[in-house]
Amino acid sequence: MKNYIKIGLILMTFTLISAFVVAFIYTAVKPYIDNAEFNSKLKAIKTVLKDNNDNYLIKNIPENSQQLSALVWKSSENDVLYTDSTNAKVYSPVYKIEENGKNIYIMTVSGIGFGGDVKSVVSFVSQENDIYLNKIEVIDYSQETPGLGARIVESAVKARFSDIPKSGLEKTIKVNKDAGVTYSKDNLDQAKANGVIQLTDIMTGATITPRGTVKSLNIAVEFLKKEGVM
Amino acid sequence: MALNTSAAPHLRTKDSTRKVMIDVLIALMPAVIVSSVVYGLKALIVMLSCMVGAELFELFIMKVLRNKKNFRPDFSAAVTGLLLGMNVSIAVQWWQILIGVIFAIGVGKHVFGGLGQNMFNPALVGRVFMIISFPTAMTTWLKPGVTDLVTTATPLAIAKESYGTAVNFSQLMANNNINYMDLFLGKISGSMGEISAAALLIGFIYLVVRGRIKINIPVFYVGTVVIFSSIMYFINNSYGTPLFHVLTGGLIIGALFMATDMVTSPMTFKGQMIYGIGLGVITMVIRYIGSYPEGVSFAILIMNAFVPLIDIWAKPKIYGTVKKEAKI
Amino acid sequence: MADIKNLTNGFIKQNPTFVQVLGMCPTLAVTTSAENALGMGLAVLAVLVMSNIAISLIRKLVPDNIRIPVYIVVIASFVTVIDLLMHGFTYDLWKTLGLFIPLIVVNCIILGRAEAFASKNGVLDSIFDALGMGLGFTGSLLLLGSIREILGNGTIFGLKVMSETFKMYLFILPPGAFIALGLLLAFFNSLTLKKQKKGGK
Repeated sequence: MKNYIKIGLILMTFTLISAFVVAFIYTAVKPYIDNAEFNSKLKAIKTVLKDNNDNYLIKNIPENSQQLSALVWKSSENDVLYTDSTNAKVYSPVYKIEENGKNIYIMTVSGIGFGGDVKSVVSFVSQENDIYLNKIEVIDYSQETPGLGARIVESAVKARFSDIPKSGLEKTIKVNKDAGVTYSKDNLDQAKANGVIQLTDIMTGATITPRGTVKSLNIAVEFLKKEGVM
Repeated sequence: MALNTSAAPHLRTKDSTRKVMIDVLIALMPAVIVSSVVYGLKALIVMLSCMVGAELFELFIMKVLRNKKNFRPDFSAAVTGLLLGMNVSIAVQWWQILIGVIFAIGVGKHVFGGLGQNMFNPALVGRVFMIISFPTAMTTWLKPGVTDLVTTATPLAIAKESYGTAVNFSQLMANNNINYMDLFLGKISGSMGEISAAALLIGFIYLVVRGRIKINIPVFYVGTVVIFSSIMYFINNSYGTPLFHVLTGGLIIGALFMATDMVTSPMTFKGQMIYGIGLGVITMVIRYIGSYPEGVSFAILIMNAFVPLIDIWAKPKIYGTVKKEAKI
Repeated sequence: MADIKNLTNGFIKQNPTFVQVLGMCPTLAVTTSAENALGMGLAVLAVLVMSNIAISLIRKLVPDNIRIPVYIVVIASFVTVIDLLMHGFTYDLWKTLGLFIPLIVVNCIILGRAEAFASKNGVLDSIFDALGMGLGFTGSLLLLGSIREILGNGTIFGLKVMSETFKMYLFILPPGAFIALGLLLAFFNSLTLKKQKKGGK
């Protein structure tokens, strides 16, 4: 009996020491972690605020967390604002930037990809009665296969997901493989107007990751519809 | 001198592996001829060079890597190479086929210990390797009988689009200029050697007449496909007629020449029955709900993996043994 | 006292991946690219060195019957520390390696070295051993990762070395990991066999 107590105490001592070490490191590193998380988020937001020619759509670009939190439009206590049966999600918060009669909605969305959530930041620009999807920045694709699904971050691929006009958004967006059509490089605008994302020519072999991304775009559109923006 | 000390009975047969393999090669010739008529001389060159390349690579492995100086070619590698060559689209580049052949012989066969030891059909290992590695080339199909490069979809891929929808199947076939006679004779797009059911059947009959192959596996395989697809056809006719499913894709070449590979198929009648039914079910399930339009290669490889189990389960009763009393 | 042999053992002769065949889970899963492989290898190296030092220091304080839990606690703390540090300072790499950093805890190499070596040897020897094993592991991961990236994606460390058409996707996918690993194992085995034959005669 005595022996057991002794062993238990020794084990406890080791556990306590380890806990202290980990706790100490955690407190020391926490600001850096927050900083890294915030920077990656801000970088993504800044990217989606640019148009195709790499110019910012607006003048007031958020630079720090205070400015960013002033732009929050919709948020909720739990992390997820809106979800559907396929488990695609819109995350809290959604930002809204108003400038010169333009409303820009920025949201973080995800859809199920090959190995987990494919998370992206998307921006929608609404002006008068028109709305279009401006840009998408994929921020989490760590479980996708390199060389196949992970090519979703290539700028050529992301470009195919951007600049989708209202007519395309109103139909459910589809990957061209699922829609059963193939558009040539010159007809991309027409494809986007039909809500089809032409991918088979630049992202051979991958099906599941783009599907997940498309689902995340569709749920973003649904969310905007629910909120009465579209 | 080492004495042969194997257990009795010492059966002797005139059949050697080499003779069987030469017969299989002869049996495949009608299909080769049809496809060189349909796809032109290039197809013939590709298929024959696959055959020669596979045999040479096996010779290299045996003599150099495995140090078997007295190895005499038994042409089993040539069969593998020819089957692989027949199972790819004409649009595939020559070096892609070369890599496929090397993979088939090297990884599909000799990694397991060579002829007689391989668990999986080497030609199919090579083919599946190529489907996954070169998805674009392996799914680009050329229109038969046209000399310039016109790509098209295979009948199965066309049908796959409408499974489970309200499309009328015979209407779909008419719209896409598919008729059963073309499917039977081989005027369709597909892998080089799989297109002509007629030519493959002629070769198969030759093998059966020569006593090289038992017809159990093909009968159960094709039978299962017919029953399965009939049921689906009556549920919703967009799932395709049974005849369509039998004649399209690689089913005929798979059932006649790949599933019957002696090394990788079960030995007893009961085992062959289970094997054939399993093949049919898996093939149809992949065709209906898989992400590929064709499932023959995957089905055969999956069932290959079960063969050792099937063989244990379907072991014939040893003559003279008494059934154990059931325990109460 | 410290023996340089402890360092070189891990490189080839006792290579953790190709000879001891330990730590297969990260080996197969993260070697889809050379960069990931290197990152994973270095993370394991760091944890291995720290845990070997710590365990060698406390080896006389730990009663025999609870040594495994104590080792696990020590290793787990170091892995958490590495995880936090990577999260803070190498954010992108941390995102790519994802789940596999916490999984270093159950990597057999680390517990194996703690149990087989650090708990019986002095600090300096243990550091040598950890460096040897860690570098051996990193090296083999890097080798596997490079082969898979070159064959499957035509690149190495993101630099293009092969034309697009020569890609063999299989090697990026899980079966490719098994096949590439198997071929490498066969290659290393044939090397050792040849050596043994020469030595024997």
